[in-house]
Amino acid sequence: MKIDRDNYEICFIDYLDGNLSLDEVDALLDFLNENPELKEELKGLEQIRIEETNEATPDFYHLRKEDLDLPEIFEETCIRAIEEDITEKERLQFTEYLKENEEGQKIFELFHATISEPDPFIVYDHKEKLKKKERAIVLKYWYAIAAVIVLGLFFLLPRDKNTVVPQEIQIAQTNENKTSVPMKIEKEPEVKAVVPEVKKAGSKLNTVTKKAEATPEIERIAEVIEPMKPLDTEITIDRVITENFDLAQISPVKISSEKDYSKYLTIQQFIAKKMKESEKKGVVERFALNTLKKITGDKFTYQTNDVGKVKMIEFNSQLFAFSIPVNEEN
Amino acid sequence: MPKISVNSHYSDLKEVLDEALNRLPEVQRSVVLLRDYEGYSYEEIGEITGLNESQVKVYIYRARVFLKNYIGQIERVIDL
Repeated sequence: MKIDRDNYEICFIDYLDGNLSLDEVDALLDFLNENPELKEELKGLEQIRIEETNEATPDFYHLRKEDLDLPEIFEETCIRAIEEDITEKERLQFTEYLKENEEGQKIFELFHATISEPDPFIVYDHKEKLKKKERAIVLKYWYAIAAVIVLGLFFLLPRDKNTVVPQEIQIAQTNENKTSVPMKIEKEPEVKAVVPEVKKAGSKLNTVTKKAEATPEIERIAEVIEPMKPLDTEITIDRVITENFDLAQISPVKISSEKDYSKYLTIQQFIAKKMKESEKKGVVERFALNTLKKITGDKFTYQTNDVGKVKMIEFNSQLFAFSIPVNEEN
Repeated sequence: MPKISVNSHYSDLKEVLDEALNRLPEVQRSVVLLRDYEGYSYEEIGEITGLNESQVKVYIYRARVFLKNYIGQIERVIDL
């Protein structure tokens, strides 16, 4: 902050209180050198000191009676009296004051007349339900519960129905004794026949529509992968991980021109199949439920059957609890 | 404390008071009615209305002063 004649007083006070940094003190000294008359003012301020006294705080209570002569104090006392927000000592003092002050008594009567009384003929049976406090608590927890349920449903609902799941899955012939095998893929004329049409048409959609009935799997490959060229080279697979996949052990496979490509999986189909299997085993469900359990601090729990499928979902907080049996079909 | 009695010409005091209550700001009317009709404490009124205790006291104070002045004005008119 640059010190000038508009803000120097603030800087003086900060300086005297020791709240200025070294740079600011330097700036202040430069300013004082440029303005010697203000230097004298600062010296005068430095001489002002308020010494703490050891005198006891005087008791002002004796002034209160006289204060009742002030309209503001009197009105406040009247209201505190009718609200019964007054000490016994004050009440006695106020009563004494009213006895000696007729005008004050009239004003007090007016204040007392401001107290409303309910119509006894108007009765609302469900008054307890109107209490805002209870509603607020229920709503507060309702939102939290709804959020948990929505989150749970998000994970528990079945996957997208449009996911492509092949009806017939057959990757390859397996051979348990071999893990490193050469695979030779022969030229496939059908693929070659479809891909050029895609390029020529300039629109994959049109091509797919035309050929959908004839070779749907091959066209799906054409959508995702670049146009395939006929393979006539020999492909060697050195090692295949066999632990978790049905692909397992691979034996030499010869794909002849007579082979039906509908028997093989695309990458999408393979992932979809694995997701389907995981769902069947309840892996996804349990992952989602465990996540919910952590989020809610173990208020959300679930039970599984012998095969690991979720059979019951439970939620239990201090104010709210529920349990939902899960239909195995879902 | 002297016994409070309403003047005889205040036979329709309730009507006057209702009229005065209707002229109050909404929040002041609410706290006064909760106090007088239901007998809630300042703290309870604060919980119901979302105000703190000091605000409730201030609103009740302002409402009482307004009501007193309104009733006083009517009384003076009747006296004339």
